[in-house]
Amino acid sequence: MSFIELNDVAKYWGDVKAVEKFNLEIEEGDFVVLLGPSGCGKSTTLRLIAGLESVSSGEIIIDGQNVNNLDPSLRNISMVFQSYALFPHLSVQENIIFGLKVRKVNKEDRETKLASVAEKVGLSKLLGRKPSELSGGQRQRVALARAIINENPICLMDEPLSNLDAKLRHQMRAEIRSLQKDLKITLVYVTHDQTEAMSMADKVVLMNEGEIVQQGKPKILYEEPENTFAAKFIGNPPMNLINLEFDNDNDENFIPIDDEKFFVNKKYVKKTILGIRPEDFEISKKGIKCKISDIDYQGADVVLSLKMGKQAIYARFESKIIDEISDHVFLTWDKKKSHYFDFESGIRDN
Amino acid sequence: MFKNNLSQVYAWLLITPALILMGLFTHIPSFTTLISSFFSTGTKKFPSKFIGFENYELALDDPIFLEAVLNNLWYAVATIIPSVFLAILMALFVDSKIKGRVLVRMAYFTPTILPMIAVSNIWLFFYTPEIGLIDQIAINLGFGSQNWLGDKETVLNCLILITIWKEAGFFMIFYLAALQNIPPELKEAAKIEGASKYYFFRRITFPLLMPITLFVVINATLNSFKLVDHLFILTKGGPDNASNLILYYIYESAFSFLDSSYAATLTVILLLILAIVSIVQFVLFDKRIHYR
Ligand SMILES: Nc1ncnc2c1ncn2[C@@H]1O[C@H](COP(=O)(O)OP(=O)(O)OP(=O)(O)O)[C@@H](O)[C@H]1O
Ligand SMILES: [Mg+2]
Repeated sequence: MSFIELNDVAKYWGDVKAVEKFNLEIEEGDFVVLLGPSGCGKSTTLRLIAGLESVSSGEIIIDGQNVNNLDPSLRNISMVFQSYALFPHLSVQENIIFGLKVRKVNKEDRETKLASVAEKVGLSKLLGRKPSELSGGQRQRVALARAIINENPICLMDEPLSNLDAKLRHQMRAEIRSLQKDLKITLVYVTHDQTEAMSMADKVVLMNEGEIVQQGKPKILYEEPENTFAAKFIGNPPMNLINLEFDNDNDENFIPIDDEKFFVNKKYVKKTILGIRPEDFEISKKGIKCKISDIDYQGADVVLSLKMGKQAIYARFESKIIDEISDHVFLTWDKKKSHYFDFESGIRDN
Repeated sequence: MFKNNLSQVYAWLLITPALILMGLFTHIPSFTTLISSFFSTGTKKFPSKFIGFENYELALDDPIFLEAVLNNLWYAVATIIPSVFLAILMALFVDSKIKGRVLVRMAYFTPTILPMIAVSNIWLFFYTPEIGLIDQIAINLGFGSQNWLGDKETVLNCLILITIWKEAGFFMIFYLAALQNIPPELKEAAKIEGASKYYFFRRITFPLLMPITLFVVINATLNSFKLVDHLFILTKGGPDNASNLILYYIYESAFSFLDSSYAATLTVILLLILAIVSIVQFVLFDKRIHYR
């Protein structure tokens, strides 16, 4: 039995479906990321686990206990909100120990815990300030400190880094990750940023329109997307999805390029989609001629926007190739790195 | 340098209309009031002359004035505290997700939009002995009749009740606006920590409402010295000055007893009282207020 289980959970607001057919198991000490586009029900799922919303059907089990009707404060969780939800009139110190005071922890214990937590998140010098006198990153740390001081085994975070600049976000990712490992917290983390999800998670739960699309290790989601949604959502730029035609004479699928047919050594009777990651392309004289429509220089890498026949694709290369290209390139790819998806259902079909 | 001077000129030109209006209708009258409080009221036989602080000495020995001051202090305290308290309660109530809250909000706000004169007439109907609403109910329940506005013991408190009834809904609007500005996540964060509703109110909501409370209390204080319309309809300060308030007494001095210098003196004293009260409130509150 897993530490947290969601069994066939659904949540509706009137007729609006927020979450449906949700089955998820989270092991103790895992870092689980709920990933998906805006409005797909990530926050709702997190709030269901927290008990801030109640399920419409299904059950939520924490540590073997059905918590469907259990008050949030009894679920042994702490939570970091996207807006941080700091109390604006209280000092950093009072914000952090708010929960301890509610539970009437005595003063000595409060001070010891406060000192150690403030040390951990680097707030020791700022304890007397008000939230309005802090930078975004410092506020974020206060919210973190408030979440970990209770030593709850479970922590829930809803897009905690979305208000920070890119550099700070990068740094905080590493910090949150190491805090989580140090304190052996089971962390459920919501984000719509796939880079963040891939770099932090033990397990990514990809969602769309209230349902789970795919879950598993980041590597699995990247290497074996189960359908075209997962393929398109993960990776930057995302996987190229190329529509294939079927040639009855040769009994083989092909990419139509002007009047030519570029065969791909695959035999699907139905229409099929070929997926290739931008970084899996190679430049080779034997390849398909693609017209360059745009060059996006990113320092170490360069991303080319190309036209393969009529279809727009992206390809990523080391930026040193930039001197060798003019208005077109010839592309090939390792056939082992091809992904195939059913045209109608979008389901993986390798 | 030249440019700087020019912008100075512009600045002065722009504030001049406001300055003239303020001067004409606020500062000059205040100043002349202050001046005339040091003179006697002129009549045909005895023209007005400088008498120093004589008017003030008179006022401090005037039992009616002193009673009006005491009445007014009680009236202030007894209207402000309950109406603020009620306003917060009502705001919390209509801020929660109850059905028909728009109707309830409107109902709470209605007394505020009625003119004080209309309000007085409504309450006159409640308070009238024997045929008034309160007495009809009381008599049906077996209690005796009571002359609510005619009894020295009850008259002031009856007026206080009217004022609370009228003001609480008005203050509620401010509290409601402030409550809706408090992000709902604060409540959720506290809920996860296990804070009870009362604890959350005491440590979070109430302190966050402090700026509104200051505003409301100062407003209520000023109103309790300024708003005397209902006296004209209901009691005229009686019986036996039991419901006389400072401003009403000033009015009587000026327009019934035609002693305008004495009225000016009382006005200055009233202004002094108000200034002191406001300053004390600001200083008291300032330490506890968190402005966002
Ligand atoms: N209180 C509510 N009442 C009605 N519908 C709601 C409510 N909260 C959320 N929804 C709906 O439920 C769906 C899921 O919302 P949710 O907030 O979980 O999305 P999300 O994945 O967190 O999106 P985002 O990344 O934009 O935060 C949305 O369609 C939303 O409109
Ligand atoms: Mg969300």
